[in-house]
Order: sequence, then C-alpha cells, then structure tokens
Amino acid sequence: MANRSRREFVKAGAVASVAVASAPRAFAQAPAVMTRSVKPVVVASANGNVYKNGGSRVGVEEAFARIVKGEDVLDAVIAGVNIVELDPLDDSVGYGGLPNAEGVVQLDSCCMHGPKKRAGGVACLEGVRMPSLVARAVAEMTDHHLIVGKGAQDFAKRMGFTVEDDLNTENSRKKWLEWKRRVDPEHYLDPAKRDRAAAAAREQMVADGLFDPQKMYGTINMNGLGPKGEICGVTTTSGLAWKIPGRVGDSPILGAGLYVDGDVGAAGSTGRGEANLYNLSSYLIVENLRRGMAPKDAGMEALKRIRANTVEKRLRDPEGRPAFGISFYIVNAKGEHAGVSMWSGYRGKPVQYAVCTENGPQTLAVEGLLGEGAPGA
Amino acid sequence: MGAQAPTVLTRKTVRPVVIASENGNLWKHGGPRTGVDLAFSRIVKGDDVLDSVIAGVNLSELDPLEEYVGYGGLPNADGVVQLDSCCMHGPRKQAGGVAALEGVRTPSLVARAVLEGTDHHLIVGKGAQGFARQMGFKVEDDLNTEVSRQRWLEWKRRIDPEHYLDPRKREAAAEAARRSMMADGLLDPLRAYGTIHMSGLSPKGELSAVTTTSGLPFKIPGRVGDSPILGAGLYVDGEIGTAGSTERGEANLYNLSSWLIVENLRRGMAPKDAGMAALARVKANTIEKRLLNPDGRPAFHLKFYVLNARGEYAGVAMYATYQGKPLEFAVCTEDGPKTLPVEGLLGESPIPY
Repeated sequence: MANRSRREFVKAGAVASVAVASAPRAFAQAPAVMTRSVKPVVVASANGNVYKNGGSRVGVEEAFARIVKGEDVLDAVIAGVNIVELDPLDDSVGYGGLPNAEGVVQLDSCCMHGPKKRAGGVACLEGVRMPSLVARAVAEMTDHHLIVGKGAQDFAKRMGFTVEDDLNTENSRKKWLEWKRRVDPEHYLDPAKRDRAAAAAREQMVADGLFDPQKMYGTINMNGLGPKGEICGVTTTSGLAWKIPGRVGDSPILGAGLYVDGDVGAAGSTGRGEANLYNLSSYLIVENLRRGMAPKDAGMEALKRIRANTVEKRLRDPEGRPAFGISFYIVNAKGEHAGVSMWSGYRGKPVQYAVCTENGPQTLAVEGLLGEGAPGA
Repeated sequence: MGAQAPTVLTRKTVRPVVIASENGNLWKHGGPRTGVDLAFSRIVKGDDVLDSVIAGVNLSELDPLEEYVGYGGLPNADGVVQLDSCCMHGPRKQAGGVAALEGVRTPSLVARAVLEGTDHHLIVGKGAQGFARQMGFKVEDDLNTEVSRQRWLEWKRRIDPEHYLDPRKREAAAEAARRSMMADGLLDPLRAYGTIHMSGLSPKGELSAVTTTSGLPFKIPGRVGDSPILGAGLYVDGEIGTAGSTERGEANLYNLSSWLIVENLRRGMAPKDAGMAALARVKANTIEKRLLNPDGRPAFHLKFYVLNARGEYAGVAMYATYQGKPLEFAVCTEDGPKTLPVEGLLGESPIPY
C-alpha cells in the first residue's frame, strides 16, 4: 500500500519535472526539497574526475551531460564509468587493470536501476573491457542478478560482446612480472602463506614507489540522480591487484559494492572489499537514509559498524583501529551527497571523491571517521 | 544445566538449538541421524558450532538422494554440477564462501577453508576449484549421479536448441521445460530452488550458520543465487542472531534479506516479526510483471530460518501453504529433531510448491 502510493508519487513528480527539464535556467534554481523535481547530480570515486580515455570529458561530466540531456540515468553512469574502464591509464578498472596472481585480468561489476528495481552483476569476467555493460545485460536479459567465471564470459559472447584473449597492457603486465619476482614460488603450495607473501610483495612495491597505495583496491563507483528523481548506480573494478584467481570482492555484490533504492538513495564503495562483503555496508547506508539520516551520517554509521566488526588482529593497526582504507559515495533522493572514508588521508594526501552538478565536475575531500591513516581508500 | 536455563539475555546459559530448512530433518546419508540431529549432538558435546552445522549439512551434500545440494545435485544447462555455499562464525566474526565450484562434493567445507585459509570472503569458478585442490580437497571430474544426469538429459530433450542463441528465449524455454517436467512428475515442484540452510546456537551462546546448494536446476552456467553471498543466503551476528534462506535466490540478492532480518533482530524484533518484515520488503520490491501472479502477489516462494541469541526461532515464508499443506522447516532441541510448519506472510499459495 505504502509502496504503491510512493510509486504514484514518483509518477506525479515525473510529469511535473518535464516542464522543468525543458527550461534549464529555472531548473538550476529548483529548491532542494522533497519533491521529485530535483537538481541532477553525479557522485563517484575520485577517479571519476581523472580519466578521459583520450576524450574531452571525465566520467562524472559525461554521465552528468547525458542525464541533463534526458538519457536514462543508469545508461548515463555506465557511460561515465566506461571511460575509466577503457582508459589503460587507470590500472584498477577494466582494460589494463592489474591482473590476478596468474597474470590474468578478471573483472567485477554490478549495477542497479532504481526506478525499474532491476539489477545485474558479473564476477571474475575475463576478456571483456567493459564489465559494467555485461552487468547491465544480466539485469536486462536474464532472470538473474549474478553470473560468474567462464559462464559470465560465455554469456557476454552470446550477447555480442567482443571477447579478447588478454586485457593486460604493457604497464599491467610489467607490474605483475615485478610482483611475481618478489613472491617466493614455494608459497604457491599453501594459499594462506601465499596470501601473506602476496601482501608483503605488494607492500614492498608500494615502498619502492612502483605501486600507488591508494590503488591497491582501486575501483570506480558512480551514482546518478536524474531531474525526475531517478537514481541509478554502477561499480566496476579489476579487483585486488594479484589476487588469488577467482577471488571476488564487494564490487559485483548488491548491497556490498553498491546499493540503490529508487525512492531513497544510492551508496557505493571502494577500498577493502572484504569489509563490505562482511558488513553489507552499501545496503546499511541506504537503510540509514531510509530512516532519515543525512548522507554523511549514514556513511559514518556504516564505517563505525565496520570498525566494530574488525576484530582480527591482522586487520588492525597497533592502536586497534582498522588497518585498511574504505570509502563510500552516497547520494539521497534530494540530491544531497557525501563522500566518507575510514581515514581522511594518507601521508598528507586527502582521500577524495568526485561530484558533477550544473557547476561542472569537482574533486572534493571526503569526511574521515578517523584522521591520517592507512592507505587503500 | 542447559535445560533449566532461563531464556533471558545472559550469554552463558542458553539452551542450544539448531534450525534448518526442512531437508535438514530428512537426509541421513545412510547413517542413523538427520542433519539437525547430528549438528545438535555435536554442539551439546562441546564441538565448535560452525563445525557442527557444517557436519549437519555435509549429510545432505553427500547424500545422492538429495538432488539440490552437493553430490548428485541437478546440474547447470551444460550438464555440469556447480555448487555454491557460504558460512559465518558468529563469535569469531569470520566468514567464507564459494560459488560456481565444480568437482567438490562438500562446498561448505571449501567455504570454511576460505574463511580459515585466506584474507577473502568469496572465491568463484575455476579459481575456487584450484583453491580447493591446493587445500587438499578431492576434485572429481563430475558430481552427477545417474539420476541427475537422466533428469538433465530429459530437460535437454525438451529445449529447442535454436534458443541457445538468444539468452532471453533460452531462459523462457528452460523455465517452460522445468515446469513441464514438474507436471510430468520428473522434478519435484516442492524443490524448484532446493538448498539447505542450517543455524546453530551453543549453550555458551555461540552462533554460527551455513548454507549450501547446487542452485537452480539447469541454470545458465555461472549463474549464482543467494546461497554463497553473505547477507543474502545467510547472515550471522554473534551477539544478535542468524538468518538464512532457501527458494528464489534472486529475491535475496536484491533485498539482502538475511542481513535485514538480523538488523531487525538487533532493533529488538522477535524472530517471526523480523522475518515477516523482510518478506514484506521483498513483496514491495517485486514490481516486474513476470514475477507477479495475476493477483499482484509474488509468483515465487521464499523461506527464512531465523534464530536469535536467546534461542528463540522462527520459520517464515512468503506463502504458508500449498493445496492446504503447510511449508515446513526443521528444528532440533533437547527434545529431538522436529519438522514444523512455517508462518506465512500470505496464506495459500497460488503457485505450486
């Protein structure tokens, strides 16, 4: 009952905003109140305002431009992250992403369409540069929300995607070779030891300046709000550099790497995926928004939950705080947004997020639950 | 001692209990006990609760008569058995899962190895099999039994091979073939998405849970439902309680129902109410016509098994009955194993169960 009246409310808002959308001046002055004629906005991880893949626009800008042109919000944010997936300079997402322990690039993504209440994801997908488009195909063409591994690749092939032998670039292959040199091959027999050796080699490469510590769990999340109040989101990644083959983080999992409720808001994440798989943080944030919290507070609550649930010593710093970075990108149905992070910065560099409104793309500092701390946001 | 303990919020004095989907009180794999019975006896002996409930579901995984879990589970569209599982240890706040795992009869044990042997919570596909092999699990070429292979062959005969080119048509054909096999008595309509979930509570108040399945029969290869996903197929908070699920996995992947139920318990709801609120959320979020009955209600089944830290439990489902017969769940306490009717959000089901 309550739900139906909400949907009717959305429909009424959609009609009202048609006139608004055709008058961009008036639309820019729309009040940020609880009506469905809202100011559109796009929120993303910081790399949403960095890469252009040789074009003229960064991801958040591309997505925003499409939204104000009236395109579907999910199509728009996917077009935004496609730029980052295709750009070989971002070696944590899509083509040229850092490969797994065996040198194979395996990609994860999911997406959610708020108004349509549809969602799709792929994990461990090899050979397709834009996993976000395959995730959308899962949402549109199947009865399922998640397809993984070789099955995901076969599905992509049948849907007409080009499947390539290898998504490595010279850069990603070289970095993998260097990592491989630093890992003791003996450890390959014991996954637990191998995991530790892999982590040690990653840290050493960070210390030697061969590897950006902020990119260890590099990922892009992008969430958009359309003028009619439509909310959609997408997350896409190549996952933890040199991961155990088949390891899946939060990015392709609804509620972990991304959650959207078309009437409430969207939340997505980058950073240590395991913390979100365990805590379902994106879902918790949207629940918090539903209960009336502001985006920043909703995100801070989720960060506190993660901190409380991080009880294993190996995951804590000497002071007992989480020894990893994790960030959330949040937008509610009114267009209010926030970027929040476990740590506000690392070695003097603030953790950031990207936003695009009618004022153009911006990179803003996140709010940290804790101060200066661990890398890997 | 445990039997006289009051059911109040103290940690050290709860009555142990095990709850599960109804198949937890069905299969014995040739032994004297069903899964809930075995898990309960281990818990009262002092075994770790997660080890105990995994031992309980291992019976279903290994028993070839159970066609929806582990060895002999119905295969995917290509005839390959792919298994999913996850588990959570409440007190230790650890979790592990595997999806689309081929060749290992007991995926719940591989999920526990992910929990214990890695920094991760989820490993899938060929990587999951490679990991299992490295951890010493036996990897077999094929987990089909003669029964599961024959069922797949029959299903294959009923599908137009042309449809293989268009995933949407192929899915519709697959669904039609599944339904016609149900009508012909070749597939159990009661078990469209058969899975086993089991949760346990020890006398010391320790909570753990596991879910394991072979997934939707004849699924698209690589399709993953809720079973291996934390928050979807199960969730455990060591201080609060557990929730797990069977039937339509997509509804839980979308709504993170197990997580929501544990959140509801955290906010003070009774297990039944916590489950009902999650079912109401699923119902509200089901807006696609193809998922709705002509009367506007969900055209699928969904069941939750809910247990709080005091040992109070509930089995709830979208629909309470089909043709007057109640949907069920399994429990084991000091009174022995029982199969009980669930409480339904809605009454008589308009669709077969």
